[in-house]
Amino acid sequence: VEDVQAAAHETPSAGKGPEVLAGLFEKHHEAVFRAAYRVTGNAMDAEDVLQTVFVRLLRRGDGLDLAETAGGYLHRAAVNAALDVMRSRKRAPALPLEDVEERTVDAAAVAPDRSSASRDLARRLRRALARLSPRQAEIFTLRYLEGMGNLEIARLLGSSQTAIAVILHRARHRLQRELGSLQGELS
Amino acid sequence: MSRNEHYDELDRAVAAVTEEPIDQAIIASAAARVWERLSRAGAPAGAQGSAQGEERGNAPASPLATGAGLRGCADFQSMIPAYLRGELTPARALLIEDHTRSCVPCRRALRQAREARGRDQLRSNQLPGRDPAPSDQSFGRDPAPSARSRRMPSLAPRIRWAAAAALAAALGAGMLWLAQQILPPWAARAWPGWRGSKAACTGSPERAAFPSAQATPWREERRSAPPRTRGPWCA
Repeated sequence: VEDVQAAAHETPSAGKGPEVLAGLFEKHHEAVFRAAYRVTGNAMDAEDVLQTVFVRLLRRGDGLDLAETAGGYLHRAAVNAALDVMRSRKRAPALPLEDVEERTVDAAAVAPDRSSASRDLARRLRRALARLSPRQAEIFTLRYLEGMGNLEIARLLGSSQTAIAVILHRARHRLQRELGSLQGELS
Repeated sequence: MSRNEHYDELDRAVAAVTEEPIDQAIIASAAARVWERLSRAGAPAGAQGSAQGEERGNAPASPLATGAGLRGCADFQSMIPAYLRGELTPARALLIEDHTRSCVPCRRALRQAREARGRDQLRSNQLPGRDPAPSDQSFGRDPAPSARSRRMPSLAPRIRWAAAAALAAALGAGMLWLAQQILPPWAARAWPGWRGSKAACTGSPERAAFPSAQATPWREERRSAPPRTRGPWCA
């Protein structure tokens, strides 16, 4: 993580950076991890997303001056990094199942009590999210998986509530179709 | 499935994701590992990681084998072969890509590993009786230009020009021969120089230079025909 070290020393706020970073991490790491886990469904991926988000935060020149708006920023960063993971997984060559099981801590291991039907639905939704456009996937995730309101999302993204509502409507419509087609593919 | 049922399914899927429980211990251990890495990089030890009992200074085991995180350039570089084989999880691959964008030594190591891998694949492709292995297929890239040029060695320009000239000459000779076989007598009369100048006009023994032409029917007709009027070009 030498680049992280270099980034920390290069930032204008390097003097107060470490303390601010500690506070941000203390306060938001769980929300970031949970948001990443909800999108990826995988604890190892969520851990990598957590690291990526804070590494990027440290690399930003003004990254540590956002204490007041850090929650929304980190939430959004976590969702986007996790969606990137899902999209790259869609492109990546398939791994043998035994390899995947060795390397990941998936939903079944974390929550063994859940029904397989519920896990299947969750898995299909995650795959379907990776098929949406980046903006649709981000807005849908913030609204429905992270529970933000349209106004909050509009402020976070610098958009209007109407635009957010339209994108959400289209995203839901597309997801319904994708869920149906994925049911056929995965069964 | 009706539209409402689709909506129901989507809502149930959203509920399945949001209600998925996550063990607090998993979050805590993941946060400890991440903070440990961040604190090594300059953030103060205290918030999470330093109390987790990870000893600094010990050489970490391979991150790929343990599933632990990436702690420095050595870790990133040790994962490059697996990255090139496409065996890393997408999140790990993203971390490597993120790191190599800003770290010159690791970027150089990645480039060298990629070139070495290209050379190895080329060597294995050249072994007799082996199917060509996919080259950098997992990354959607073409093989390295050097590999491509070695697989199809280019001929020197002079040799290529000489080959083209020989081919053109052979083609011309073939066309002449063919035309001689199929063209009617009036064509020969109209273009005497082509059939050997005077020979074409006078029917002299020089025409024996075209023995195969004598067998054609129109040649027979010419032999039995009355003497022709000489054209102005026949001296």
